[in-house]
Amino acid sequence: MTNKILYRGAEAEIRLSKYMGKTVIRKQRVKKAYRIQEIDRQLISFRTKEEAKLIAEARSYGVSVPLLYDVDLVKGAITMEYLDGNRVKDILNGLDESERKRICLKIGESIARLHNHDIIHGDLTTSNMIFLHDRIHFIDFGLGCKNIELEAKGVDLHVLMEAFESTHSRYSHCFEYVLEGYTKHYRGDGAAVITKIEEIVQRGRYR
Amino acid sequence: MDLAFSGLLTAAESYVRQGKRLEDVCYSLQETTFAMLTEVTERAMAHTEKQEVLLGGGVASNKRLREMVQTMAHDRGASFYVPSRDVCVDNGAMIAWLGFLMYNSGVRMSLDDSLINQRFRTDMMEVTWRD
Repeated sequence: MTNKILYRGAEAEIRLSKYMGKTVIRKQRVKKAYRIQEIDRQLISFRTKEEAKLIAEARSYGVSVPLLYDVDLVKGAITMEYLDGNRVKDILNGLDESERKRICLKIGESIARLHNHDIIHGDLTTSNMIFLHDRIHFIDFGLGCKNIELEAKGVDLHVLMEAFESTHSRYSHCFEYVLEGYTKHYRGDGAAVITKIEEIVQRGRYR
Repeated sequence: MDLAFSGLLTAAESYVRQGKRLEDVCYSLQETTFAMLTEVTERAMAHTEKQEVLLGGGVASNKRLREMVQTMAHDRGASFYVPSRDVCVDNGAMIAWLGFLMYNSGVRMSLDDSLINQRFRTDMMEVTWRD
């Protein structure tokens, strides 16, 4: 058992572990001492359950996500498949333009599949996408939820747009390819979602 | 990083109208909103890989918020900073200090060109006084 910490995020520790002889990822939410403990326990349990449900549901709609092996609501731990690929964040800038476009279209297609079933990822960034076996795997549904509203879908995509502008600023036009893939596969009114994103961009603060 | 608390405030007001004890509602409101602020701050630190956090502004004089952010920073192995309480509510001191930093970095502005803009946000400011 290695149990090496791969990544320490804001609310969880990601460890490499072993499960039935396989190398797996164990995502362990950690207790927050600043919060009232009763509430903290409820939040950890609720978020762990929600995340596991969304991952399972996303898979059923054909979106590539890690396979779930175990969910422990008391400990706040999810044991899941280890995807030994590259983060899209780390490879996107180094690809040639046609390959970059192909990847971005795929990203848009997957987001559309999520949104077709009102799954909001909640933290769409290229560091939460793993490229492996020519597929874009979506990870970290920890901020996700189910929401039928246009606003939620717009915000979901707007987060990704901002990620493209900051992390891939030279290739921020590629977000257009994401939208192209999205509108092609989104079964609702894709143009309305794009209008919503523009509205969110324009939306001033303190008005 | 903007947070809106209008929904929480409406809920809190409605509890008070229903006759719930004011101190209970205030306590819950404080714990909830500050936990949100602390969580978002921690997410920002994780995302940007920063090891320091500085509280500022009027709300930074609140003891509970100081305690929560300090606890969060300590648990992440990060450093926590906060000005003394008397200057947290002193807008004149904050503006003067910023002016001092800007002046020393070469920013010049005539009095006629300076104005008050309450909608101006910290993230709209171009930082010229550090590398």
